[in-house]
Amino acid sequence: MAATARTLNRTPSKKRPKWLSLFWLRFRRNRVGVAALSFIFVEAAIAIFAPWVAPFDPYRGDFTATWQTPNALHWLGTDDLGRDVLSRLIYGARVSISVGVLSQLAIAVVGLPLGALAGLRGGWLDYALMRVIDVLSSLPSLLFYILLMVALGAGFGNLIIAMAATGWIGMARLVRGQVLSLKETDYVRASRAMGGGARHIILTHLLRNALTPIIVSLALGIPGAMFAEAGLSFLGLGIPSPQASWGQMIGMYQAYIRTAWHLTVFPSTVLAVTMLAWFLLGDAIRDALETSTPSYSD
Amino acid sequence: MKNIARYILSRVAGLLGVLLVVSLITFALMHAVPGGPFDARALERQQMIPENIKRQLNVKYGLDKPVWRQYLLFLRNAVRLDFGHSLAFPSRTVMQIFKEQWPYSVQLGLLTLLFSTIVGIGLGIASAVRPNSWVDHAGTGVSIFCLVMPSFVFAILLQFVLSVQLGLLPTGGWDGPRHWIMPVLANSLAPVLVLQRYMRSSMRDAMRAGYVRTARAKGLSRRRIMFVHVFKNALTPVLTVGGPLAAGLVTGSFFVESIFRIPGIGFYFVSAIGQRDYPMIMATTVVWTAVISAAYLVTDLLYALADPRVTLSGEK
Amino acid sequence: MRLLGRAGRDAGGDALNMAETLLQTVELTKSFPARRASFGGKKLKNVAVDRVSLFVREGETLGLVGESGCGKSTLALTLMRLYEPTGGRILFAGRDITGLGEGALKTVRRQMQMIFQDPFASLDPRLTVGQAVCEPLDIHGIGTRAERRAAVGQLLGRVGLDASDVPERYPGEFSGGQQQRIGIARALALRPRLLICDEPVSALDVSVQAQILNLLRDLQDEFGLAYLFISHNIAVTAFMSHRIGVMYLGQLVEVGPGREVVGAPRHPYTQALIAAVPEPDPSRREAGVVAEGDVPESAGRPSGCPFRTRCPLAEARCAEEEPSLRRVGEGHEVACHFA
Repeated sequence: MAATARTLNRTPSKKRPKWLSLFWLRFRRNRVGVAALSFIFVEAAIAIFAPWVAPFDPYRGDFTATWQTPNALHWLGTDDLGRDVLSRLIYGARVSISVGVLSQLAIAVVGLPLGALAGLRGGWLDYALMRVIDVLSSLPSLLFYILLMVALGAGFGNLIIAMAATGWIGMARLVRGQVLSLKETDYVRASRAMGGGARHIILTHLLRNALTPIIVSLALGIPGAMFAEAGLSFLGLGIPSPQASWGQMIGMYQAYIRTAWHLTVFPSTVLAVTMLAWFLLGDAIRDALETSTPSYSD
Repeated sequence: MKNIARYILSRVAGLLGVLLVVSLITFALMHAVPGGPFDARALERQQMIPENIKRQLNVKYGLDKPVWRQYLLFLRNAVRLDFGHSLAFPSRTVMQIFKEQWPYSVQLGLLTLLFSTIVGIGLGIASAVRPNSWVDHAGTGVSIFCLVMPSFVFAILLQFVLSVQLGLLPTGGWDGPRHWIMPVLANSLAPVLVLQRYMRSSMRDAMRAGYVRTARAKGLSRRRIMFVHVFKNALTPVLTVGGPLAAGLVTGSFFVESIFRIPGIGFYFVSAIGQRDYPMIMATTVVWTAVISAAYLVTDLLYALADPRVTLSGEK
Repeated sequence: MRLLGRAGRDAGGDALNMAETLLQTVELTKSFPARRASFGGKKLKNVAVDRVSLFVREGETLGLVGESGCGKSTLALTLMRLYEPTGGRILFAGRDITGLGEGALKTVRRQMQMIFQDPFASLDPRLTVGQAVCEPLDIHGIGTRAERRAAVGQLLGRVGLDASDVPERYPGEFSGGQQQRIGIARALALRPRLLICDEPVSALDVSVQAQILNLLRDLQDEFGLAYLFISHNIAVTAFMSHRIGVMYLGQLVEVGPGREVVGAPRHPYTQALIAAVPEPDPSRREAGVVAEGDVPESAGRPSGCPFRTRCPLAEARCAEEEPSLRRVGEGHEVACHFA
């Protein structure tokens, strides 16, 4: 019965590359994605090393140099308190990136287990969860954000809480859908037949098979979170002054666009370009993931 | 017909349930805020409001009564569309503000809808009819642009380039058609994106359907096929997008009205936030949620009428 | 008759008859709410398994045969408690496991395993073969890492996949027959006493079918396993089974020793199934009972005897009175008014 070598039709003996390196190979071929990744890399590096990269202290204002348009000393000009715009933009990158990433982490932590358990257990837990999701999703997320931030008060921590409170819904729904379709597969049935409980199935099967859409959702959620933070800060509800945030700057100075255009145009441009880069990155990740994981095609 | 009646009833019941929960959430959050509209002590300390009004507010909001009674009072007032006086404009009630500023928002919304329908559906059709052509790629480019560009950023940039630098258009206000161009453009980003995407995929599905091949086999001209069969069938699923579209228009209005100084509800909502005008905030939230949910309901019903399979299955 | 495999030359016949009952069902029923419920209308039920009472003894194979939609697979899943029974009882080794909670059920599950119809679908494409076969050991925490790895190697070797790189490969790299061997290895990991085989060879090429069936028989002899062998192919079932049960629209219509059910079938449906087996030798072809028409949907079951709509012997009585299983021989029961 040693018919194995004869009937196998793959390249033998060489160990199959792990899916991580396969993913990277696919990703590398997407030039747009690589460009976006490089940009983000540079931007993140600038944000992390902000204290050394920024030419001025973003919190200290020079009252002799207020409202300056771009010049040799302050490359992007100064604001109403004499603070250097370029430095504030650099520190604003810290806010955007950390809000983007941390909010998705929080969403994953809340939404993943809830969705998985609801899908697996079914019954009243699932029913209750779906009703909650139905109701909460009929409230437009921006309104929900606004309500929450008005009640909680502006600030970084509250912002993450608000984003988790609105974002978990999408993640839970996604995960639940994945679990439901997984439950019908024979291998999950086999697993249950062997005595596998909810925890085992989630850890062994769900994470491996449903990871792609979850990762994609998180990756594409980052620019969404940035957008939300910018919008809320624009309205005065996100990151409060004196901390620097792009949306906040746009909001504070949008009335002065005629005289101090630099205070709104530069943050706007940086925000738009950053969001574009993150979106293209997420898209490239999705492409690479969907074509590199083992599936039924063989 | 009984099926449709049951469907409508269950959806309306759902709508009321949602509104109830939303009002509860709004009330709970506003109640939790220190200095909020339900904080009796804060009211006492308010300098600007005259004493007799304070007493009226106390009675109206039942500030001395237990929480649940306050909520019921709030509900009862809400149903009568009585949200009290605005804290930012103490001489006017919230409903007065609504009534007076309402038309601006509606005009902006309708113009945006018109523009984005033409552009969005047009682009979607063009992309589907000529796949992988430059038109298709342009359409994809447009949708990426709409996706990543926040509406308020676009609004600012438009304002900067067209108004400040080039002086072609006024920076704000709502007095004539020239004032409409930039706000409508900025507000159209989200709707164009949604409509274009839906129309494109819907058209593609319709074009690939079996009955299209039958029609061609019958010898009908390509254009006639397109218009009569494909287009009609492709349009129906796009109806479902009405709900999210309404939501997008509403939230978009906050930013666009603020930046272009259009005195609509969105503008007042944003300034209410800034000034912590809680009655205004609460009222706007509840009203907007009702409007959006109604939009979902209406589009669902239209879709159910257009495609009878929805109600017959009894499933949502 | 050439169909008789295990059913015919049954060497351990007497020993098996004395063996203990391992699995038993008493009026087991599983029904589903029918999908097309009108809003507030009458709730239709789809009775997939209808009061089935059967038993399997230690070390023997009970074959279950019937056309698509007769409820065989649903029965298998219900026995494994992957579906919850809506009526009746399941007894394993004398113990009622019908309503057993998850915790106690886990220990029972070690003795009762399953292999599936689609070998590839029963293996997680993201797990290596080694991980898949090891999964039952992991779940029950048996042995150390090294011990488990050794056990996996042994199991794979026993089913004929003994190349050293097999455990590191993914299921997609193997053929259907090999995948089913992997499934069998996995099912054996916990040393069960009963193996439920849900159409294990239906998705395989004919030549490979024979290999797998022979493997299953060898394993049965070696480990004393009991099988519930489900198939729509009566020839295969006869080859594998000591006793055979015939199902139609969720009901057990005939059950008995394989040699009798195949050699002298009493129920018209069984007769039709046997007659439908193609006979290659033209001189031995006989005209047999032909069932007319298609299988009705289980949600719209005929009243009385479920087979009456296609039965050549049907009379008025068959529509009014549902026949129950009557003893017609040693261990042989038939549900028909005319048997």
